Amino acid sequence: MFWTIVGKEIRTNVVSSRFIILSSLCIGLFIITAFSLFQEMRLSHEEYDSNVTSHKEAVTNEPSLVSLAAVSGVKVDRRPEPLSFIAKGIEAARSRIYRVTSYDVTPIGGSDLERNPISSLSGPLDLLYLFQVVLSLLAFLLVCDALSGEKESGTLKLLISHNVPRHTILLGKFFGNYITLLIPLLISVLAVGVIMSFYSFHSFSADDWKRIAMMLALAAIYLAVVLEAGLLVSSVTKSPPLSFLVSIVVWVVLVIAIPRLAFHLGATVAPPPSVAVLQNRMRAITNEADVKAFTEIRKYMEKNGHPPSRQWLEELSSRVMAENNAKKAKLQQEFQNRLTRTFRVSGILSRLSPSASYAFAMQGMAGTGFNDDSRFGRALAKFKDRFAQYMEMRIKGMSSDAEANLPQLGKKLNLTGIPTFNYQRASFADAVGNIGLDLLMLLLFIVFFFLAAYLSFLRYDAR
Amino acid sequence: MLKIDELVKRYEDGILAVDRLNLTVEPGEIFVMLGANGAGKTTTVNLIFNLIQPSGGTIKIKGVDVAKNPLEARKYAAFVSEDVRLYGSFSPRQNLDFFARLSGRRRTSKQYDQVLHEVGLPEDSFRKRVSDFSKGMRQRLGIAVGILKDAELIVLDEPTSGLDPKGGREFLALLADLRSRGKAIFMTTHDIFRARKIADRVGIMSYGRLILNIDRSEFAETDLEQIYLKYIEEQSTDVERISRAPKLDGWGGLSQ
Repeated sequence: MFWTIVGKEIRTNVVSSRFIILSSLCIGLFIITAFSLFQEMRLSHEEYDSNVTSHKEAVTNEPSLVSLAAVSGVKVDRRPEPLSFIAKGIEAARSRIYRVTSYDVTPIGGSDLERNPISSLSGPLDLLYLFQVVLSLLAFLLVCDALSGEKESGTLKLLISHNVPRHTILLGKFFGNYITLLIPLLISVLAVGVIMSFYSFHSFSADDWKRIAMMLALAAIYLAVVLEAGLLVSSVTKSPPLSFLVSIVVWVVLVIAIPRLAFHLGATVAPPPSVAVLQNRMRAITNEADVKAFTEIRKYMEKNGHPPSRQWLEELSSRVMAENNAKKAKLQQEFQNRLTRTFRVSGILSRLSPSASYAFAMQGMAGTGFNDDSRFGRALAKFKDRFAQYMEMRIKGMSSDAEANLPQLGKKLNLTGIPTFNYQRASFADAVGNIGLDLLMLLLFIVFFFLAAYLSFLRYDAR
Repeated sequence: MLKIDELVKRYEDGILAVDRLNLTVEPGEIFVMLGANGAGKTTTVNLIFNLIQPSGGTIKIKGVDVAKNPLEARKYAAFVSEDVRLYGSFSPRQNLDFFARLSGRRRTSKQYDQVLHEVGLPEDSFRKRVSDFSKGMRQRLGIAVGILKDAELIVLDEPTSGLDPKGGREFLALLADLRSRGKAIFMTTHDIFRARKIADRVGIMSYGRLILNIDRSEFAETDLEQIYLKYIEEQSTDVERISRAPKLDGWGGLSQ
């Protein structure tokens, strides 16, 4: 009985003009988007490689160690996450290049939005958008009149008179429509895979493939949630036009309104810190440290009538830098705490929508989520400390002040042993652990929508 | 086969759709229920299949209480509705195959064709999409679905509404054949002429009450049309007047 209904659903769906039109649209959008995305990915990777080379070269051309440590610093390039074409996440808004000096880390631009301002008009492009918006709309429209349509055509009454239990009808409809939906999904994924093979921007590792498999599984789970929600709509409406209208409203609320509004509401309840304010305060701390150091040197000279010794200056420098670093670390931590709070509040609100949970989970697997961004920030802070230690050690080891301070014209700096920035995203297991809550939310949504649809269908007037 | 005792259905808005209905349909018998729109005929059909819950009384199909054990009771009953559209993208054969599988009675294509011939569908329509069918053709296919279930009770709700004279004649022959095979048939209709031709017993429903329940020997000698029209007109007044209507002479009186 169950498989008979599943088979009927698939056969009626695949020949329906609604399914053919919507699926073609969906597949077409995936193909067009894939071309555009992979072109963009290739350019990003080329730009990254080129930047890494030129930034490495620029460091050795620095005139002195002091200017390198205090002013120019080293440039750290943020590598585009290889799976960001699936879910761009927070990466789109983040700087691609950071200047790291012994005192601080400063983003110096190159974000996707800066590189391509037009994308800010439409929002960043990724495959998540298509999964989240286009496929979910296809699912809603496919299933919205699954029950009300049968009622209108009189076949629901006939099904019940043929002794089919209601839960069998509901499950059969769910699985029939689900299998139908997997057809455009798989064709789209296959088409994206073929297009990707023409763009060699990255050779995927085993970890990447595991993540891709997980993201496909998440897409399948998300589709199940949306289908259940569509079935729920169908089980509370009596006619196909009404089902269609209610479906559109529910889709807009769940997929568009809640995920977007929740972030604005979250930012109102727990305002995020301003990056500009943070940078100004960082600069103020550096200036304060400079003033303090010069004041102490002046006092020393006034008191002793001669310049301080090299050892005295090194001790002063170490002390002032330690205070400076401690203040900045505290400030950074406050900034991060406020940002985390904003994200948490927004996350709680937006998880009222399965669409938001799905987006968070996908970004987590792509390495472009909020947790990954924080992880990158921590890695950058650690690198800054290592860089500062190295520079301090090198400057102390110089035979004279002149060697450290004066430009070494025509001579490249010897930077043997200078630390390099190597960022590793979270392991696959950690990434799965990080998306645990969102995965759980999606599974709960499946259970909730199915039970609600079932209870509603038990009371459904089949006449 | 079908036994209805003191059946009552009062909707939530207070409307009394079926009022103390009692009737029995035996195997090999055709019971035709006549009545105006809103008389309670379709509500009775919905109650037979437990699509709505009765407010009182019982319905038993082959001794099984419909309200208590609807899945078991429905095994013995097939349903043919007034305007079933079936699955438009399927051919008649595919529709038959789908419903036959549901009732666990899958047949061969040849057997499906045979049933389609029986209900008078032309052979060149067997492979066409049902969405291209006329109402009459869909009606025949709906009957074929009902026949194929091979249930002991067949319930037809306004089955002749879309049939032309030839189709109607063939349909009556089909019902007669089903009767000869021992099926109990419960049919609702407005079509008093066809009812007269095929029914073994006729009931007239008005405001939820079965106000007349007579067998062939009784209605053969009376002007059934006149009685029916009289009660249709009565219904346009009020239920009190109908309940106070005098007994008519000659055919066993009115069931109150």
